[in-house]
Order: sequence, then structure tokens, then C-alpha cells
Amino acid sequence: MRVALLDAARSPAAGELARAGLGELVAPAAPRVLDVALRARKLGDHLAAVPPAWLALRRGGFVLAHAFSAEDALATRGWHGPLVLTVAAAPRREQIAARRGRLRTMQWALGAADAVLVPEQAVAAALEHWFGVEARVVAGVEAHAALYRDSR
Amino acid sequence: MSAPEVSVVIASHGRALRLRWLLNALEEQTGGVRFEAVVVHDYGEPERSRLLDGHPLVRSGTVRLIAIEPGSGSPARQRNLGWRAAAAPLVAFTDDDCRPDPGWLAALIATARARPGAVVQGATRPDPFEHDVLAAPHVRTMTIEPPTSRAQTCNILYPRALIEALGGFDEGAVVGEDVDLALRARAAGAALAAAPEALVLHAIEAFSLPGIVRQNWKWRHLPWLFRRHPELRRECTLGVFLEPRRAWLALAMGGAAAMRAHPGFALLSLPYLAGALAHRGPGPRARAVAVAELPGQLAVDAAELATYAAGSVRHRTLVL
Repeated sequence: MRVALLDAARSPAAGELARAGLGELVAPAAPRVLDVALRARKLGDHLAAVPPAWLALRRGGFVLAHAFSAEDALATRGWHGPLVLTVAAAPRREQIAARRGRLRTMQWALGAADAVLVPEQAVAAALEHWFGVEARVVAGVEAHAALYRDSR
Repeated sequence: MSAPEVSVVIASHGRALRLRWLLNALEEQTGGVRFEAVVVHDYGEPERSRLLDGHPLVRSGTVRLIAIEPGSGSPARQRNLGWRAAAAPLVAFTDDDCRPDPGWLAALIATARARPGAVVQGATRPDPFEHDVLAAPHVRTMTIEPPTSRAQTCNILYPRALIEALGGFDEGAVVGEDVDLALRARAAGAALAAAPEALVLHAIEAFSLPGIVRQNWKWRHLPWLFRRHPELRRECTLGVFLEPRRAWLALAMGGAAAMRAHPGFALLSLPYLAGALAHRGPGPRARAVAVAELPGQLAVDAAELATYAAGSVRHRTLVL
């Protein structure tokens, strides 16, 4: 099964899964000038990476997409495969609506994801507190491998 | 639980997630205030069970949920249902796009005790956590430094006996029902007391151009309020325009229409253009953004003017 690990921020978690052979990192380089322009207009982080990731996801013949942020999940819009979303850090009120489009993106990603994962219980509690979403605590390569198998 | 000192009444529609955040903020109230909250909402089952039913304040009974048929509500009807179900002698209103500061209820109650019988108005400011959203071309938020004659329900407290005596909100009103109630309270002899330290932080929401035009369309009903309370015109530019910007736009449109007679009439558009180009602040970058946003801003302002013109015809009183 080919799993796309969508991670524009190149987080350690996605890198670990890629090194273990569980998936392929999809983090195409985004035009830096576009990222700078979007950031200047207070739009969410790593949005410039969405169009190239969107293309890579469709060309790659993937069966499952695993996004490591809500912005990464945007690349799966209109894609028909299952989406797994990892929320790596506990949402805080100070930042959940701090940038333009961030809240809408997060709401969309949480609604679109077939499974929402978090690395630890504190993140699950914060996600429940702010978004009313129940997330599964999944950490480590083995647990992800089992999850991908179940998602087939 | 002993009897609440204050009931918080919230009418909610279309913002279930923000409502949850408001409940989170109520959970953080300080000062040992005994309160209950009554939420009157029209959410369907999935949203209700995911975002509301499991909230700690709902489970503890501090928050009571009153569900009405989806799409059957109005702010006036929902607030009336809310305060009538309230158990406390004081009723505080806030909105589902607001986040009360932790000391909000304590500050409202302190002022209510110092001024018995008065309507107490707190301060409302754009939420600093969402400040970056102001960079969007079309945003909606609220700034109120009390006291103001409009006394909006995003942050206001009434003695329950006063609302009861006034018969509550006028359910015939589509918008402006909160201002109407405040003006009737004043006419009945109630004082308006300011509580600037009772702070509510208002969401900053970004809209697309069609979205903001749709959002503003409901204000076509506002002339109803001016027909009922002509004294509100004292706060209008030339007694007609709700905002000076709209007076300048009307002048610019008049100038554009008269340009055929003499090109010099084009100069009448200068006050509007000067205002529109200054709204992002000084500096070349802010000016560049304002120039880029000018066509959209002009479209929104023109649509607003048309909205109020339509409302003025419908309610037979001129408010623009």
C-alpha cells in the first residue's frame, strides 16, 4: 500500500515513518516568494506548498494520505482516498484562529479526516476542549503500521 | 448548587464551534460568581452532540441548552426564550462570536450592585488572538466603549424585572432588537451604567466579497429601528448616514453622475477616495494594500448603500 506522508514542515514524525518504509514523504519545494507574500498578508503557514503537494498526490498513485498539519491536508481536497490527520501539538486558543484562514482550514481538515491522530493524551484533551473532536493517541512506527493496515 | 446571582443568556445560530469557545471562556470566569447560562440554539444532532452536550458546563448543569427547530430562530425570539428560562435576578447577554474576559461577570455584577436597577454595559473589543485576520480585505468585528446609546447584546446586563416590565425583545425585529430594548429601557427611566472593565472580546471574521455583501443584506431591516426611535438620527451624519464613509460615497456617486455636465464634478469623489485609501494606515505598504483593495471596498460600500436604500423604501424612512 502506498502512503503519502504530506508534511511541508518536514517534521520528525513524518521523517521517521518514511525512513521505516511506511510511506513516501510528499513535501515538494514551494515557491519561496509565494510563501513570503502569503505570510505578509497574514495567511496560514506553508500554504504555498499545497498546490505542488496536490499535484504530487494525484500523480503518485497513492492509496492513503497522511497529513501532518491541517494545511497539509488541503492537498487532499477532491482526492477520494482515505485521509489520516496528525495533530502534533496541543491547540491553544491564542493560535487556533490567529492567522487568516487557519480556523477554516483546521475545521475542514478535522471534518475531512477519516482518523485524527495525536502523539499524546494532552494533545487529545486540548483537541477535544477546543474542537470537540475525539482523537486517537498513536505514536511510533509500529502503531502507525497497524493503523495503515486497518485503513485498507 | 445555590441560586445563581446572574444568568448568562446566549442566542446561537451557525457558530457551534465559537459557542463552545464561549462556554470555555465562561468556565474560566473568576471572582467566585455564582452563574448559570442558558443557550438557545438551533443546531442539529451531530453538531449538538459533538460540541455542546459533552461540554463540562453542560454536564454539570451550569449551562442549560434550549433547542429550537433549525432555521426557526431569530436573535429576539431566542433571547426571549433564554431570559424567560433564566433563574437569576440579573441577566447578562453575550453573543456566540464573543469571548468574555475571565473577570467579565464579576465586573458586571459589581457595577449592577453599585447601580441597582440600571442596565450595565461592558466593553467589547476585537479579540487580540485574532488580530492578524484584520489583514483580510473584508472583516467583521465589533468595538464598543461604554456607555453607548446602542447598548448591543454582545455585552450587556439587565435586571430581569426590567426586561419583564418591558415585555422583552420585540420579536418582530429582524435586526436592532437589542438597541430597541435599550432605548425602551431608557425611556422607562432605567439608567445606563458603564462597566468598561467588564470586557468581552469579539471574534474577527473574514469574508469573501459575496460573503460580506450577503452578510450585510440583513441590515436592510435597520431603518425599522430609526422609524421607531427617530432620536437615533442625532448620531448620524446629516441625520441620514450611519457612517460618514457612506455620505462620501453618495457624494462621489452624485459627482460621477454629474460628470457629463462638467468633468470638474469628478472632484466630488475625492473625500471618499481619501478615506478609502487611508483605512490601512500611513506608509507606502499600507497605501499599496488599500489601493489593491479599493475596487472590492467600493463594491461593498455601494452594496451597503443599496441595501440601506432598499430598507429605507421598505420601512418608509431614509437611513443610508
